[in-house]
Amino acid sequence: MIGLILRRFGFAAFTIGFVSLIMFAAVEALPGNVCTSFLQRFAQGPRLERCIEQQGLNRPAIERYADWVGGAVQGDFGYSLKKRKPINELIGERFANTALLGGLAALLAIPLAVFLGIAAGVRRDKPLDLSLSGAAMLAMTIPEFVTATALIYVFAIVLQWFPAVTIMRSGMGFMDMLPNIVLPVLVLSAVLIAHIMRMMRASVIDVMASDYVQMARLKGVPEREIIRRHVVPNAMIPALNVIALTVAWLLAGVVVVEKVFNYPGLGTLMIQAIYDRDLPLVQAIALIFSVIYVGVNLLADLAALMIDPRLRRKGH
Amino acid sequence: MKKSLLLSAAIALASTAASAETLRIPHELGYGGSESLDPISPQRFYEAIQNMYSRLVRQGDDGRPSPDLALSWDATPDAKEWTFKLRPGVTFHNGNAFTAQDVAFSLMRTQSETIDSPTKGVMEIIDRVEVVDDMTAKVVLKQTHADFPLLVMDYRIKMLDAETCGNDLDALCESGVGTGPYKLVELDALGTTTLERFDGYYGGTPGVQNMELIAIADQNARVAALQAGQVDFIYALSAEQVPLFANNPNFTVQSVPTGRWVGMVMNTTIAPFDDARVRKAIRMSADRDALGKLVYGQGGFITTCDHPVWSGDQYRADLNCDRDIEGAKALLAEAGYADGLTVELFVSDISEGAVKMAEVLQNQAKDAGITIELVQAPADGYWGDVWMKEAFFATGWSQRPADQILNEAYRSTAAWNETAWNSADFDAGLDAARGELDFDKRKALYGELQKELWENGGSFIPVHLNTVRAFSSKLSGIEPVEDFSIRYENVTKAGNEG
Amino acid sequence: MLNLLATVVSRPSGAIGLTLTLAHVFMALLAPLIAPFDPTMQNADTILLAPSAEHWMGTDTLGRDIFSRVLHGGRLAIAVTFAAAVVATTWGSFAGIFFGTVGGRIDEFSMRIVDAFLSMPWLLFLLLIISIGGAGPATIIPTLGFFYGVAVLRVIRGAAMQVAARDFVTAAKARGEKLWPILSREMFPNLSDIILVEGAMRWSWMLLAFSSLSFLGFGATPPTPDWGLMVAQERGLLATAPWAVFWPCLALSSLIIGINLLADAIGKALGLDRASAMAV
Repeated sequence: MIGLILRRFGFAAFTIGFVSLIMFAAVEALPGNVCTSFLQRFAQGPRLERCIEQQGLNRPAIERYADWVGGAVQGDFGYSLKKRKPINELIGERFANTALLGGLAALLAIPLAVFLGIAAGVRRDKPLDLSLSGAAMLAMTIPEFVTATALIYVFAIVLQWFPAVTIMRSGMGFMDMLPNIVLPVLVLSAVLIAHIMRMMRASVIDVMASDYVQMARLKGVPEREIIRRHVVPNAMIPALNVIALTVAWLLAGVVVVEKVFNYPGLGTLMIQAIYDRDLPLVQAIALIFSVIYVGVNLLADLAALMIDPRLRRKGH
Repeated sequence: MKKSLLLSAAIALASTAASAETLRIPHELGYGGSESLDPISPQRFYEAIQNMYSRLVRQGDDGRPSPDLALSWDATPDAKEWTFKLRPGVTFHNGNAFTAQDVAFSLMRTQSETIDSPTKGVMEIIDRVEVVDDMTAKVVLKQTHADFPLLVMDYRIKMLDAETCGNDLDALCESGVGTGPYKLVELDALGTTTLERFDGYYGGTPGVQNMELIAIADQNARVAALQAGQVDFIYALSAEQVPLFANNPNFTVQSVPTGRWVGMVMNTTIAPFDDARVRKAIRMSADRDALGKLVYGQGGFITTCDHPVWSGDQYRADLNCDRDIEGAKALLAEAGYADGLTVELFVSDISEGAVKMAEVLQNQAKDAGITIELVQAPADGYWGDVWMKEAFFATGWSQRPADQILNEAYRSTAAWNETAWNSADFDAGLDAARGELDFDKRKALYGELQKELWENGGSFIPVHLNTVRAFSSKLSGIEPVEDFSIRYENVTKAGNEG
Repeated sequence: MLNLLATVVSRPSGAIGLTLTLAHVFMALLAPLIAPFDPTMQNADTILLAPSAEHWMGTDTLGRDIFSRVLHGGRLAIAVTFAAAVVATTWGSFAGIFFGTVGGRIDEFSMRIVDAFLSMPWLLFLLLIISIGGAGPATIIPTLGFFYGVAVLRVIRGAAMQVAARDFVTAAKARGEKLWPILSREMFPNLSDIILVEGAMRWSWMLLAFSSLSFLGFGATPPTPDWGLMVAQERGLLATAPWAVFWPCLALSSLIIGINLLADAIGKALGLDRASAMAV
C-alpha cells in the first residue's frame, strides 16, 4: 500500500519535471528573450549587452535550466523585469485568489454533481433525469462569458446583491472577498456540475447494468441498499478520474471568468505575461497550473484507493 | 423581499466600502502594473498624477493658460525669457515649502536622457531656469516661443519637490510628494490605489476625504462596475453604452466636444507605409462623416483631416478631405500596388470606439483595394507592448494645444513621435512658428504644418470626438470640460443612504 | 450505415441531434446564397435596431444585419474546429491503438508522457504559439488538434487494451503476424465506432473553446462574422439590445447540443460503453 502511494508520488514528480522541461524548451525556442522584451526598441548595443550580462543569458541553456529548477524547487521563481517585482510576490496573492475561486467552485460543484448524477442515473430516462440532463447540456454549451454577463446583469446591476466586478483593496480578508466571488464561483460551478454530473450519470448507468447488481436484485436486496452498497462506490471510481481531468481543464474557463469579473487571479496574469513576453513569469505560471493538475490527479488516485480496497492489491 | 443571511451580509459588506467620503474612479491599467508616479515617466499613472501634483499654469475656461502654482508671468519682447511669479505659502505633502528651486528642478529634469520622458522633445526648448528669488523663476529659452506658457500647461509638467527627489535630474522620482489636492496613501496599480485629502492644499479643502483609483482593464467591466455602484465615475464611454445610463436618474451623462481623438497610426519608416502615397491613399479611402456616425453617433464628433489640432483651437487650419476612392486607387497604382494592398492593423479596446473604428476603416478602405487585417491585442499593457511597436496600430490622445501636440507627436526627436515622422523641414517649420511673434503669421505657419500632415503624414485621424463620461448622480462639481481640465478637488459626493 | 442511421433517428434525441447538426452544416454552406444582406455591410442609419420584418434578428452596433451574420457566423468556427477535430482524432486514435496493442514498457512509458502533456495548460501553450505565429487557422488547428488529441489517445488506448486482450488478437499475435496488419485489420475495425463518437464529442467542445478564444481576442478577427466574436463584442449590451447577444449565442449552443445528442445517439446505437468514451 505504502509502496503504491510512493509510486504515485514518483509519477507526479516525473510529470512536473517533464512539464517544466518542455516549458523551458518552448520558451527557449521563442524568438527574443527577457531582455529584448523588456528593452523593446532600446534592445540594441551596450544596453542590450548589459542586460544580457545581468540576467546571465549568455550562459548555456542547460545551466540556466538547472538554475531555474534549483530556484523553483526552493519556491523562488526569479524576478519579473516587466513588472519590476519578484515573481513570487506577483504570483502569491493571485495564486491564493485563483485557488479560492477554483477551490470553492470545486467544493460546491463536486458533491452536488455527484449527487445529481446518481439521482439522474438511477432514474434513467425518467422526467428527473431528462430535466437534469437537459439543464446540464445547456450549462455546458453556453459560453462562460455569456453566463457571466447575464449573472452580472441580474444579480449585480438589477438586484444589486453582489458586486459586478472584483475590486481589490489592500488588507482584504476572506470575508471581504466572499461577496466578490459568489458570481464567478456560480459561473464556474455551473460548467463543472454539468460535466461531472453527466459523467457520474453514465457511470451509474453502467454499474446498474452490471452482473453483480443484477445478481443482488435477484437475491432480493432492496434497491436502496443496492444503490448505497454497490452502485455508488463502483460508479465513483471511474468518475474520480474524470472529475480530476475536468477540474484541470477548467483553466480556460478560469481565464475567461477572471477577465469578465476583473478578478485578479493567475489566469489574467497569464494572459498579460504572454503578451508581455514575460518569460520567467510564463514559466512559473505554467508550472503552477501543472502542479495543481498533478495534485488533483494524485488526490483522485488516493481517493480511489480508499474507496476500493481491491485496487490496493491490484496495484496497476 | 426576503433575503438570505448570506445575501444581507454581502450587501452590508458592499455598502461599507461605498462610503460617501470616497470618490472611486477606475483606471484601465494601460501599463499592466508598471504605472509610475513620476509625472514625466513614459508610464505615468495619469489618474494619480493628476490629483497629486500641480502645474505652474492650468487651462482656464477659455482653454488659455490660467494661474496655478504661478500667479503671473511675463516675457521679454523677443519671447525668449519668461519670468514666473510663484504662489507664496504653498507646501508639499511632506511640509516642504514650494520654491523657485523646485521649478528649476522640475523643468530641467524633463530633458534627461536617462528618463527619456515623452515631454523631452517639447521641453528641450528650455535652455536653463534661473532662480531669481524664492518666489520668482526665470525660464530662458533656446529660441523664441510666443506661447511658451502653453507648454508648461501640459498635464505632465508637474512641480516636484527637489529635495524629496534628491535633486537628481536623471532619476525617476516616484515618491508621490506634490502640492496637489490629494496625497498618496498606497500605490497598488494592479489593485486599488488610495489617495487622501491634503488638508494643506492651497486651493482650499478638497471635496472628498479619500480617492480610490481602481484597476479595471476591461471596458465592459468598468461599465458594469458603474452600473452596480462600485465606482462613481467612468470616462471614454462609447456611443452604444450611453443608453445604459441616459434617462436613469442615478447617473449623469456628460458629452463635451473636445480635441480628443482615436486614430490609426502608420509608421512612416516601415514598408509599405514608408511610401507617402500609400499613407495618403489609406487616408483618402475613408469617409470621415460616415465613420463618425457609425462609431460615435450623430453629433458625437467633428470631422478632421488627419490634423491633430481641433476645431476649438485658435491655430486650427481649414482643410478639405472628402473621400476620394479613385484618387486613392491612382496613388496606390503609382506606388506599385495596382492590384491591391494588404496590411495588418493592431487594435485593442483601449480608447472609446477604437476597435469599431478599425472595423469601419477596414470596410471603407476595401473599396480602394486595400485589405486591412485586424489583430486584436489585450487592453491591459497595450501602451507598453503594442503602441509604437507595430507598423500600423490604434492610438488615442486627449486634447492638447496646437504647438504642444505638433511638437509632441511629430517633431523628429519626440519620444511619442508615433508615426516616426522624420522631416527636417517640419522641425524647422515648428521652430519658425514658435519664433513668430505675429499671431496671424504664426497661425499661417501652424496651418502649413497641418496641411503637410494631411498630405504626407502617418496619422489617420478621422474625427475629434466628444469626451463622454457617466457618473453617479451623487457627484457634483464635475464641470463639462475636457479631461485634463477636470478638477477633482472640486468634486463632492452626497451621502450614501445604503 | 443506413441501418445505423435508422437506429439513430429512431430515438428522439438522435433525430433532434441529426437535424440540428445537418441544419447548421447546410446553413454554413449556403449562407452566402440565403443571407438577405452582406454580413459585413455597415450602415449608420440602422444601428442597433430591434428585430423587425426587414431585419429578423435586429442589427448590431455597426448597423449590420444580425440574421445574415448569424448565418455566416458558424463558417469559420465549424471549419477550423472540424479540421482540428480530424487532426486530434486521427493522431490520437492512431497512437492510442498503437500503444494499447503494443502494451508493455513502451506503453507504460508513453502513458507517463501523455499524462504530462495532459497536465499542461493547453490554453497557455496555444496563446504562446499564437503570440509568435499570429492568430489564424494555421496556428489554431494544429495546436487544438495536438492537445485534444492527447485526450483522445488516452481514451482510445484504454479501449484498445480491452480489444487487444480478446482472443482473435492474441491469436493473430501468436500466428506471428506483423504489427501493422494487426493494427489495421484487427484493431481499427473494432474501434472505429468509439473513434467516431469520440471525434464528434471533441469537435463539439472545440467549438466552445473556439468561442472562448474569440472572446479573448485570439480566435476570429473582425470583420469575420463569428458567433463567439459577435457575443464577445456586444455582450455589454445585454440590457439595451439583448438580440445582439441572444441569437449568436443560440446558434452556437444549438450546434454544440446537436453534435452532442448525435454523438450520444450514435454511441447508443452502436452499443458503446459511454462511461469510458466520456473520459473528457
